[in-house]
Amino acid sequence: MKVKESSKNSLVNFMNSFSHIYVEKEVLNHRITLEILSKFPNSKIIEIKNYKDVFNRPKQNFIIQKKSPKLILAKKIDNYLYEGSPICEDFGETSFYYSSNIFNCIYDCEYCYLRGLYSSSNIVIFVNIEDFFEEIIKTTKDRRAYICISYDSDILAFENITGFVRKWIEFANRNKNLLIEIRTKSSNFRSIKNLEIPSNIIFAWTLSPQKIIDDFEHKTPSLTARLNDIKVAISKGLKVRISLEPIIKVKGFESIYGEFIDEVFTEIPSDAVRDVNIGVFRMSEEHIKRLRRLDKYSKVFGYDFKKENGVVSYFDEEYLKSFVKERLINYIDEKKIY
Amino acid sequence: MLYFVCAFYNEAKPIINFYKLKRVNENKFFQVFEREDIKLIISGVGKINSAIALSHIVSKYGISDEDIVMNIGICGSKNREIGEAVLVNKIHDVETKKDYYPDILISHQFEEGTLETFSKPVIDFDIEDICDMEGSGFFKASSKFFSPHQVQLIKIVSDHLDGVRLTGEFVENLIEKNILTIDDYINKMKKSFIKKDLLDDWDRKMMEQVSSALNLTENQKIQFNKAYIGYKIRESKSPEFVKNILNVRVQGKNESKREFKKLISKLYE
Repeated sequence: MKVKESSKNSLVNFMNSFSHIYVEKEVLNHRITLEILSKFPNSKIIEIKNYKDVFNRPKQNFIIQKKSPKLILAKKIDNYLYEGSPICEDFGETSFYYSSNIFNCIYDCEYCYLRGLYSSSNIVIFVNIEDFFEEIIKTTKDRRAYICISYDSDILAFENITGFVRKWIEFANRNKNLLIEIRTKSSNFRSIKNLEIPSNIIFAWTLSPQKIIDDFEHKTPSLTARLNDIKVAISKGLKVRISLEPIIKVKGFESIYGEFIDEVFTEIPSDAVRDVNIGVFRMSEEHIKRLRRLDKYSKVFGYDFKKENGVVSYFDEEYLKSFVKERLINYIDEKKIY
Repeated sequence: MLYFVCAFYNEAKPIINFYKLKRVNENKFFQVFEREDIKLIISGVGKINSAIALSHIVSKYGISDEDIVMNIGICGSKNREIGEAVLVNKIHDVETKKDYYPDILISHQFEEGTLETFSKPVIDFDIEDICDMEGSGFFKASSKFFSPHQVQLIKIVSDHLDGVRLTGEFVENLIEKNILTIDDYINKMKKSFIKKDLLDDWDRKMMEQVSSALNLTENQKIQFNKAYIGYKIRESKSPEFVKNILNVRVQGKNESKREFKKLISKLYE
């Protein structure tokens, strides 16, 4: 409790999030830009030529910027669709892609790969979503394709600002060859609960024990809030994906994760769960170095790591994973665990 | 350290008086004024002068993540009132057409605006908001050494680009009237940018003594420091048991290696 008080005090002098909104000249009059700006009447609007002039400035301080993040509204001109990384779970789907309408996140998770991925923690929103859709149609044609749209951000957390999830849902409805995953830590499903969700949209909630949320997942909704949001989705007949990733090593791991899994499946009926993916915290060696440079006292560095083939993970990674898996098997068919 | 860069003496005088700065007589290149935690340099007019002065002063007195670097001076504007203080959120270099953006993270009492930096004095010219002759040079040079949240420009409107000659006293009055607001902003920044250190004096002393007692190699020292910090992160207290190692008489490389391994595994237990 004391820690929370003091961290609150240290934020007293910082300006509110989105106190400044940088807008590329080219999208100043884009409909989505105007909609977003209308939600922030007190923000300072600063016209820019290219989002990279702000986002890619040298020597930015990612951690300090997180205390007063700014919005950048821009037009994406290429790379609407990325090939999925081989280290990401593809759930057995071929043609695995991800797409990023938004760079960076309103949450501040200490273990997140977004720390160190970009030199800035300001949030870029690419307002030209219509160009994403056009390119995706061209690239996938009538092939089946699995697209994750919430890797470089938490797109549902931004729904009240952007309305992008609603647009992706409508897009999925028109393009049944696509399977689209929307992954979130938010409790914001309620913002789209009145929409009809087609079967080719998968909602996935990343869940963690409350202890991990308190220590690592700053600014995110509590476990209870996330579970309540999942229940809203289930009440609409959706089958949800649960993501227990990253599993974080912590003192009292067995009781913390054991009780957490019990709680999740007490609250959520197993037959409403489409599948569960699990993954222990791991990161490329280069990336963890960047993380350490940004914040050498981050809680991520409480335990020792092993290095294998350029990837860093806990020495007892296998044990942690199998503990979680064994506990999950009490509730869910092993075939549904990835 | 708090650094001020001002183009000429009349801009600097109210700051020198407010913070009770003393002239550094031994500097042969610039007029520099100081107290322990503040350095002020008078750059001369123009963006190149401003960039040179900034580079000179920070190279002399050091660079840290907690420093604040400020350019305070007068500016022209067609629309704003004389005496209005403007915190700059965008700088446009009229000559190179490049734009620069300081990060404004801390709440303040100023109006914010766009600064255009010209290479020549500007009379009766169409500008967007405010203009000067130093801003872009100051910011570009500062960006080499500091993060964009550490570099701030506050400009006080002195004229409406009408070519009226300003007296030194008039300029001093403009800055002086805003000095309390400027000081308030600086104090808030200072408080907000302080980095909390997990390690205290006891930790640092112990880490040094243990490294020396076990005669650790550079690589071992890095491993030991990581393990020590890991313990403190996990347990929220210092690993007091490490002091016991100081009582062990280590003879030879092998024994040192053994003790080191034991220590590391205990720190990660």
